[in-house]
Order: sequence, then structure tokens, then C-alpha cells
Amino acid sequence: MKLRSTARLVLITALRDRLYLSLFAVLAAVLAVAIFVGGSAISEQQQTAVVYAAGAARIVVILGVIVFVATHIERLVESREIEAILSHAISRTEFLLSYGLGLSLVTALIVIPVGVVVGALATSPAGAALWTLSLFLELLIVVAFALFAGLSFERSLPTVFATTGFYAFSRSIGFLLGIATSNVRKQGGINEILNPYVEFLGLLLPRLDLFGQSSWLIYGLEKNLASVLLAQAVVGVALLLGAAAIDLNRKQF
Amino acid sequence: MLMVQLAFGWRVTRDLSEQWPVVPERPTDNAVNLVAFGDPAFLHRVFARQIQDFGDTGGRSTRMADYDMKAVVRWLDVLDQLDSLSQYQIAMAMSYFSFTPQTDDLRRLIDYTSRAVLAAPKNRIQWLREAIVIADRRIRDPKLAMALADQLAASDEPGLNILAYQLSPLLRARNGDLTGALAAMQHALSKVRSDTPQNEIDFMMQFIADTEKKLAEEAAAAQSGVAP
Repeated sequence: MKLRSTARLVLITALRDRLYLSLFAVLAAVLAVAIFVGGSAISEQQQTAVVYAAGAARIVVILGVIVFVATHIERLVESREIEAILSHAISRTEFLLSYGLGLSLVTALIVIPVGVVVGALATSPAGAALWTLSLFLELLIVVAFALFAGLSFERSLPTVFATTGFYAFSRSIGFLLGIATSNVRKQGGINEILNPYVEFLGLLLPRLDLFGQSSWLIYGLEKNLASVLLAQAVVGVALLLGAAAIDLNRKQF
Repeated sequence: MLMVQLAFGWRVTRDLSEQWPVVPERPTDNAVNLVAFGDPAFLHRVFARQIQDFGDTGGRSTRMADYDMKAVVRWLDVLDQLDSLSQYQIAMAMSYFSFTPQTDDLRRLIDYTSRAVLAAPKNRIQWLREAIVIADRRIRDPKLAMALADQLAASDEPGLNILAYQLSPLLRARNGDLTGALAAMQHALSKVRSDTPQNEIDFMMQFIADTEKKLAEEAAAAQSGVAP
């Protein structure tokens, strides 16, 4: 019951903040531009439109959710609403889980319509289904990090910067690992020192570069990655929520 | 300070205005991979759309002859690096940049197309037909057209239109290589599938019969010492 009421609070906040209205307005504009640009392509107009729509929608949704979580937590702390919630018979870990659940519902309500529109444009229905699932899982990881950062910093600006940096880094980690482990030419100087750290980061950070591939929407699936993505999301979210729980339990309100 | 700013602008920054080359230099492989942020297919479409507009930005348009086609091909290679299955780049090469009147540039585009087809023959093999037409009609290089036709005829891609196999024998016959044309058309006939139109089969069989007849006449004429 406690879980459900706190999760409901998050949903009501999303509606009150006009998250859906503003996000879907931007997404509608993105879709219109994608169809327009795709239509002017020399070849593969439909494929170009769907890739533009999906790629841009992914970035808009991720940034929108990051800003929502960051500002929501800042307001929660500033208005001392968090203290009011924690004064009830709810443990801090329960509070965190219920918030995680609420934010998952918020993201699911964003991802489903996006997935339907992208699926309607995609040439591979199976690829579109995996892309939609992958976007949801990617968002869960990002939300978990934003929750962790937001509760640690208690301010929206550093939370937005830290989470955006985490996202950009996690989306690039496959490429950075490729450089660090490349045997094409002998690496020297600073690279020799940094390579082990990059390899360690490759183990630590969730491999978001495996998520949300626009190519799935055109060519379908070469191999089914759903189980790998699901496992990565479960491990990543558990790790980040665990870190947030440790931090929250140490905090003095 | 106003005078200092004006002097600074006049002496230092006046010539640092934005340069718009028709075809900018391609980014390095590492830069491409970094900017892709784990979604190369998205960056592929962004770059492809930019390449399509090269030379036609900021209220200007550029003659195709003025494009640096070596740089264009380097960009097309970037697109292949990002999405080796897409037809976008090869369509640009054969249906857009091929409007250049420069023969050397056409050769570069054909060379790119030939390489790109090898990378993903299933999706792209049909573009060799365009390359053959350009080599044969625009560059007027029968050897190049023949080499491309042979590359096309050697393909084992299922679903390839029977016309793809007929180009090699037709070009050989036109160049006077009847023996080669006969063998090539027999090869084409071996590629007939259940959905091949009957008129195409009839055409190939007629071609083989006519060529065998001509070869027999040539052999007879050679024996008697009279030109056929």
C-alpha cells in the first residue's frame, strides 16, 4: 500500500508538471521533422524517416526524464516533502523502491506511445519491438542513476549534468573499450596508463551502447539481444538503487 | 577600447570568416565512432543527408563538375563504415553524383560502387547494372563495362534478376567475343528460376542458338578461307 501510494504520488507529479504534455509536444515536432527530412532523401525515404524519428525521440525522452527526475527530487528536498514522507511508517529503502517503481511507471507511459509510432514507421516489427523494450530498459538505468545522483546532490543542475554525463559515457564505452584494447598499433604514453582504467570502467558502467540500435528498425535482429539487455538492466538498476539506498540511509534530514 | 576592438577585428579576425568548402574533409574513424554514441545507424542517416546537400548550402549551388569526387568517395566510405547494408550511399554514387561530366570522377564512383557491392552483395548487387551502363555509355570503356558485367554475372545471390546475368553475354557479343558470349549466356540460362518469365528463357535460348549458328558459320568460313 505504501509502495503504491508513493508511486502514485510520482505519477501525479508527472501529470502536474505537464511532463507528458510537453514531452509529447516535442516528440510530435520531432516526428514531423523526421518525416519531412526522410521524404527529401535521395533513397530509402522510409528508413531515413524512422531512423531520424527513433534516434531523436530516444535523445528527447532520455533528456526529458533526466530533467523531470532531477527537478522533482530537488523540489522534494526543498519543500521538505521528503521529510514528511519519511516521517510516516516507511523505511528509507521502501521509499526508494516506491520511487523507483513510480518512475518506472512514468517512463513506461512515455515509451509505449513512442514505441507504437516508431513501430508503425519501422520496416521490421520484431526490431521495433526490441527497440521499444530496449528504450524502456535504458530509461530504467538512467532513472536509477538520476535518482541516486538527485538524492546525493539534492540539487537539479548537478544531477542533470552528472546523469547526462553518465549516459553519454555509457553510450560511448564500447568505443572507448575498443581503443583501449586495440592491438592494431602499439599504444604508448598516457594511453598505457589510462587503458586499464578504461577497461575497468567498461566492466563497471552499464553497456548502454548495446541498447537502442536504430539498425534494428530497418534490418531486424541479427541475434536476439533481449536477454542480454534485460540482464544488464536488472544488474544496473539493482546496483544504482543499492548505492542510492546506502547514501539515503546515511543522510540526516 | 572601441578603437582597440576595431583594430583587432581589422588586423586579426577579419579573414577568419566561415569557410564553406563544397566537400569538407571526412572525419577520422575514431571521431566517427565517438560521435555515433553507440548508434551508428542514426549517425549514418545524419551524415548521408548532409552529404546529399554538399555544395548546395547557404544559398549557393555547385556544378557537379566542381565537386571533389575523391573527397565524396571518402565520405561514402564513412557511410559504409556506419551502415554497410544501406543502399543510400550507393544510390547517391550512382544516381546523383554520377551526373558529373568528369570521366575520372565517374571512374572513382564506379570503383566505389564495385567495392561497396562486394561488401554487401545481397542488398546491393543490382547497382552494378547502373555502373555497367555508366561505364559503357558515359565513359565508353568496354573493358571496364565487361569487368563489371562479369562481377555481376559471377554473383550467386538468390533473387537476383535474370537480366543481371544477361549483361555479360550481350556486351561480349557486341564486342565480337562470340565464344565468350555463348558461354556467358549458357551460364545465365543455368540461373533460371521458377519465377523467371518465359519470354526471358526464350530470348536466352534463341541467343544461344543464333550464336552457335554464327560460330559454326565462322568456323566453316575459316576452313574454306572465305569471310562469313
